[in-house]
Amino acid sequence: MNARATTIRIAVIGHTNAGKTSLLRTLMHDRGFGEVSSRPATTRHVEATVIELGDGWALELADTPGLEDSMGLLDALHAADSSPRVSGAARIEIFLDSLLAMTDFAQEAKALRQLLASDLALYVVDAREPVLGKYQDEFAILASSGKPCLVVLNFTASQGAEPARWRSALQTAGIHNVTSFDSVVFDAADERRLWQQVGLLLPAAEAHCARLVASRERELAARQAQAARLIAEALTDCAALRAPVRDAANGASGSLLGPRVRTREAALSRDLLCLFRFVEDDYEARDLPLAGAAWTLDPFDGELLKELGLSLGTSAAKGVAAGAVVDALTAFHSLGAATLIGGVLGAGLDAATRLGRHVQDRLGGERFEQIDEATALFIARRAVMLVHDLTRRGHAAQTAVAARTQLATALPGEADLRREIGRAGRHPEWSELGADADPDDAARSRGVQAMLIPLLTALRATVPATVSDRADAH
Amino acid sequence: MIRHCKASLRGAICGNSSRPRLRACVLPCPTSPSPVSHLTSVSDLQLQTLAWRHYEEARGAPLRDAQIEASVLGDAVDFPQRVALRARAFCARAGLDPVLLRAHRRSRQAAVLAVVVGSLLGTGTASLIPDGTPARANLMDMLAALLAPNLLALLLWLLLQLGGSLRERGASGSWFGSALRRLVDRLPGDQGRDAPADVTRAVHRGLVDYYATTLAGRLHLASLSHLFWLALASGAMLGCWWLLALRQIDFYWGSTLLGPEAVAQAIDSLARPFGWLGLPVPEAADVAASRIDTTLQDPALRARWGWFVLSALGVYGVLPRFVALACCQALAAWDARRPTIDDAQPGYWRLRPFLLPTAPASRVLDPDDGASPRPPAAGPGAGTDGSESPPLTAAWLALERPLPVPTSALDLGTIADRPAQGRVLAALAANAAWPALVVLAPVAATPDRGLAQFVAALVAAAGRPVYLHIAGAAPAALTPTDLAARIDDWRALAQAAGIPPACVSVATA
Repeated sequence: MNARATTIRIAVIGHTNAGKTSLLRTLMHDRGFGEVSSRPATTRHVEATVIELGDGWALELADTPGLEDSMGLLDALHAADSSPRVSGAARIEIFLDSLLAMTDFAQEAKALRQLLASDLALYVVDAREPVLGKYQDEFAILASSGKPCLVVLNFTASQGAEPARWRSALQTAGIHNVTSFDSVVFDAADERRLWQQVGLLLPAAEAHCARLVASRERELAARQAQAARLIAEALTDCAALRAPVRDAANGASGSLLGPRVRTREAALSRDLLCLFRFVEDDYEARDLPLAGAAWTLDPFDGELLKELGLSLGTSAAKGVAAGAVVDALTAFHSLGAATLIGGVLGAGLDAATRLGRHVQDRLGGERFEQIDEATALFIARRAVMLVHDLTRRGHAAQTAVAARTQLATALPGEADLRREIGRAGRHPEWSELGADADPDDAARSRGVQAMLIPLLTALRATVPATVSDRADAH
Repeated sequence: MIRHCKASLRGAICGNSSRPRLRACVLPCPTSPSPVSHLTSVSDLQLQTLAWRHYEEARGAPLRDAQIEASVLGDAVDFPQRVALRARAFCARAGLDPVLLRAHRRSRQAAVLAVVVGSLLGTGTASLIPDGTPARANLMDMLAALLAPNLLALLLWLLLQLGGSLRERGASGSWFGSALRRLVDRLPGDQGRDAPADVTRAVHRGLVDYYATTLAGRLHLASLSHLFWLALASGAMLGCWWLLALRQIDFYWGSTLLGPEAVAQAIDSLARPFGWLGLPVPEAADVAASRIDTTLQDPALRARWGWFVLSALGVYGVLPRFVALACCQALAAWDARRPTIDDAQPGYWRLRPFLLPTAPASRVLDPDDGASPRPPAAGPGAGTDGSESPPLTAAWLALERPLPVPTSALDLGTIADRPAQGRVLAALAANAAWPALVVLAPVAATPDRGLAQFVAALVAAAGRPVYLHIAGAAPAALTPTDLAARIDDWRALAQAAGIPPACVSVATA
């Protein structure tokens, strides 16, 4: 690893159960960091994690034990040295050398020691709490430490949160560097603002914080594009799947369609969770309400006819070209017969390839079914909503995202998506789930690409609106 | 769009660096005790990476091995490097390497075949050109037959390179990749005769990706083509030399439209590079003397034309292909030393959580040494509801949050700061007549050590029965399990403060 020129140390301080570890989990996009619970004194040690900023710069974020008895701590600090000429930081140092710092206030002493060793303090406040005397005592202790401090109002999106009251109380206490960041309901705008404010408080690191912000934004956009691609792949697999219907008389009853489509949808959910750095426990999957439809060739389907016409035309043109070469080789003594035969053969072979299998199945009495358009659209809507939920989910969230079972609202750009789903339905070879799978087919790639556009439109319309809306509210 | 997404991801991975690269020059072999790979070159590493991605994508999930991951995290710095080293370790373990080695053998066999077929074709074509007795050869026909296909193919290849039709399209997105995949899928089965079908399929796909999507792979294919044409041109040159050495051939030219001056000018232009190389060059008089209607040729003239033909084959047939082959090899070697991975592929980004953890350097700076006071644990009987309801005529106070107090009770208010705590403790000492004290504990508040200290102080100062009544609305964020744990914490606090379990009651909304 590159040698670091500078490490900026940030201590994450706050009352017990204010969500310090949760904040770090969400800031790091890492649900595995530390331990999170609603009980007091969950974190009992100082644990640091690092964000590399490039050019040898790094941010070291230290999670500290909560300040549990801040009123007692303030009393103890004053008792350590009550002289008005001693600075706050010196008073804390004196306190840290005292017996109390090793016994009754050992937990608080760890936090204070880390605070003094840091360049900046992130003071985490649970905005759902009333502004109590113990918190005001914590402001006083932090202010006396002489370290720049950014107050982070946590859980601001929760019911009962009162960020305005907190801001007012903090201003009264002379603390003006305040930002909101909900560690459970993630908001990219809040994250951006938090790092920007860190940059403002530490001018030497401002450019690096700006780079971190830019990098996070790129990552967000990239995740959205990847999510669209994953959904498009899964939709193609599901919509194109043409599963045989087995007769009960043959021993295996029912259709293979349902299990295959459900398994594919579950795999899509897993991939989306992984993309957003979550795990399966973060999602409460629910069964897909599935409706199959007997598949029959509709000779009057306009899109099918168009596709067939294009394909036959292309194949005939290829045959004509090949025949023309033969004619040319005979110095046109064949009078264009090869050209004619080539055209007919090209079109005939294409038609035979396209329709032969269908005719063969019909003659063999084989029946197939496919998911209907509504089911395919439901899969798309549910996946888009999952992306929405995961984009808004902090890595500290403890309750699982529940899969939607009712999705009546159409997605933006759904008409285009519907058309692409219909197109996929006419190509069973596009489905990786089917027996005729040809997932590397160039036409399949084009089909997936075409599906990406309406999906990205839907994602962009659904996901970022909720992220930036709250940004302007502050 | 996907390209843009990849670019964004690259930025996210590597900060401001332009593209993540497999830094081949510093690629060490993993130190884990997994089977050692016999494929050690950098292009092999690229192939292994691609094949392993296809193998895992077909499985639907990445394989996990703590030993390999630890070794890879220790050996490599950035994500592409880690992906590649992990693939190498797994390919050796899962049996992909033997199939890849067989593919290598096929590649060498194809090169040998190209050389043999090219040489035979070249020699054969050259030997067919002279006709009649005495042997005569039309110069223009000869040069066209021996050089034109070669030069046209070279021109086409250069145009394709410049047009970029094969670039950045992917195995599935280009006609070339698609055709190549179909071809590879139809290869005879001996390539994977003793390997499972999924392994063989993954290797085939990896090979297609390598040859169709990576610059090094495309250059290797191009090298094969150049090798064939080089062999053909060399074979033709050798065949001509053999013919010219053993037979007397008159060279002539004939044209309806072009006069001797024009042909002489063309020959002169063609032969100019020969002069720079010190080879004999035909002159205008030689051209005039070699017209089709000339019957007898001077032996020196024949020799000059012979050298001209050999030189033309060398300079316009062998040399360009040799240069192209050398360039392709050099470029392939250069690209193999700086290969990229398409990290937008699911098979790669699924590895990010464990090959590129966001918080790789999480470490404990100041451990829990046990000196910190622990939250009180609930003792025996603490979990039962109080048998005694809090007396309605006692003095009541609420901790931190206002809670409803019975009208018959003496309301001491909400105690939310140090001065209020002091006032209550003083009032308790001053009013001995109060029969009991009821402490309202809001279930929404976390029972921290500060509160525990205060409740203990109340019990010590009260000198009368103290009740703890857990009340108020539970926060929406608390799950039923969390709520039960919160109530237990309050009970434990009460017990630690000296309030008997019978005096603790719960009435939460």
